[in-house]
Amino acid sequence: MDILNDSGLSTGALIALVVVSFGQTLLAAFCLIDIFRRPAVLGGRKWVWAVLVILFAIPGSIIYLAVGRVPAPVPLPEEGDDAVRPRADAATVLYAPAEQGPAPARPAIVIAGLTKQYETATALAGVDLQVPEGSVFGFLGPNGAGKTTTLRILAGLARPTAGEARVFGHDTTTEADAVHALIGFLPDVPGFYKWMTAREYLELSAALFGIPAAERDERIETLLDLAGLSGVTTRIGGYSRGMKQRLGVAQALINSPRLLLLDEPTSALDPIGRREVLEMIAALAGRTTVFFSTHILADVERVCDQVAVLAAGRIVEQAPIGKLRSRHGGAQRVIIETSDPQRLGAALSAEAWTGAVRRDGSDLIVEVSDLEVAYREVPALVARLGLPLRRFDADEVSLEDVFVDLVQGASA
Amino acid sequence: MSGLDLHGFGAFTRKELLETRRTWRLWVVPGVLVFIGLTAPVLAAVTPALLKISTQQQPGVVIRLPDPTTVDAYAGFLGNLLQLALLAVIITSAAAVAGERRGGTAVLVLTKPLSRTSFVWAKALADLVVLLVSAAIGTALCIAVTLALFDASHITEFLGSVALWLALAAMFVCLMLWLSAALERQAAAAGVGIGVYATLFALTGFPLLRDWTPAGLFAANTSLLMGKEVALARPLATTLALAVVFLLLAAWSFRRTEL
Repeated sequence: MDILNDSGLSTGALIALVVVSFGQTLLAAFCLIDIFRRPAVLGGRKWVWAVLVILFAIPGSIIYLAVGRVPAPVPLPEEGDDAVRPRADAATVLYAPAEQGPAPARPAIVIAGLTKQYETATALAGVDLQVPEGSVFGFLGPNGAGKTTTLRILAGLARPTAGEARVFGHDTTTEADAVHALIGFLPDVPGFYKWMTAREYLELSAALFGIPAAERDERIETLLDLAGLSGVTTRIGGYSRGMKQRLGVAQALINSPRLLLLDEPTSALDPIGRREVLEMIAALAGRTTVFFSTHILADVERVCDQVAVLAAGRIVEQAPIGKLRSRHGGAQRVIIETSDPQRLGAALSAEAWTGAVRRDGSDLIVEVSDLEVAYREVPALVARLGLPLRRFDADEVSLEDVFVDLVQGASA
Repeated sequence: MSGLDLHGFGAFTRKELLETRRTWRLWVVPGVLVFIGLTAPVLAAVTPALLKISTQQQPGVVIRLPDPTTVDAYAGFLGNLLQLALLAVIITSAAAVAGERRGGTAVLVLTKPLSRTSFVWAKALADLVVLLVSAAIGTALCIAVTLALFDASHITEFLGSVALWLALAAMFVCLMLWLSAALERQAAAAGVGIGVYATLFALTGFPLLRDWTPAGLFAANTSLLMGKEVALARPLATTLALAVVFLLLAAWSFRRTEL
């Protein structure tokens, strides 16, 4: 970190500026002393001349103090500019190649009976959770479910009221220092020092981890490239929220953490930025453990191999995504679009092989006991009613359906 | 969150010093000290002339003032140190920890190997360095202008008085760090700090309390300049002991705080 010259000026120009301003201050000091040693000064009052000399000296002091306060202006990159896009291949620089073979059995996170009680509310009511090492783990839950509280406890920022949380065997309350050496953390709204540049922030982060200088520079270059912030010398105070979020991901990776804790990492990003962060997370699979909270189900479906659903302060389900779908698939459904959904709905409700029939715009969503029977009977019924059949699909149960069922079940 | 862990202290102290140079913090305490260092002797020199001008416009009013002296110049500087500069120290230090908590910046650095004790003590060290350098520059300017306007007398007594003020200001820096770490809001910390300042000022009227508390330094400040005998040992020892206690309390308080 070059504390002496962060102005973007060349070293020669900086030295010249400092010499001129220092010389101006010295000159003013000499003038002041001379004024008060003379019996009379050009026929005027001494103190008037003294004030004039001090006023002359002030610009020099201001220049000296101001040097380095304003970095050289560098245009901010546009959000959609390809040149500033993060690159997912940084994972290969920050981590050794993923090991092939069976996944390690040791859990990265073990949470047992975790409870967090505030004065008027219970944020966590006995959370039990295990996150396998090397997994990309989605931590799902509606707003206010306790996701952020769980992450704060895991990061050693808050203490549980009861129960415990361990990261690679270290208690997050009593061994927070050991935990901090192993994790990278990105809160939902990362707070940066606005007066720093991205490079300076990464340098501070590297210094806190004690990363050797030789290794540090290469890593910072890689991470700036990852965040799409290479060549941006504007201070962080001028960044967009998306840029801050990308820098947040970069600073969380500075120590190649064994566990990356991300709280809503994609919520502030545009679709392209979101895709690239997700690709980066996916690229980390098998190299490190990623635990990220989100309410964006598409993100979870895209990169996670396991999920846990938190509702009303409790884990209501934890499973690989595939198992979760099959476990909560329940009744099968078909979607039918026709010109008179009301009439068709009434007719379908009377059939023995149908369950709940609900209308969604011009669509009918019908639960059926046997999909084969539905394939045979629905077209025949529509024909008997003399209606056109515009759409007829089997509906796969989505993670969203499972999520809604689980959350509503927990709050019921 | 272990007690005496100083992990990350050096790196975070460098950040604090850089922050002082880059942000508004540079302009407050150092600015105030430079300003009063330059203006106190000039004001002492021109005050009789200004009063003379004002009385000339009011016939029948005659104010006779002795000629200004070096002591007047230094006393003006010391008076400003005790009021303006000390209040600037209290208000700026109130933001030290509370500001980082409010802005979310503490969360990001404290999830790295930076202990809570290092976080607070690095701020204390940086603030004390800034205080010391600012006081040195302000004092040097004050002496330079006084030499130019008056004479070279009373410099030793003046430096002694400034040193007493530095001890008092250092104690307030440590107190404010504790309050800033313990109270969530910067305004609350500043309010309590100003309350402590006012209380100490009031205690100067009670000899027993004055002699055993930092209030003694308020009173001793200008007495030393005048060449009076002043009992300094007890108030100075109490002030420095309190500074250490406040530093320990700041670290203890912040370690217990949830972010």
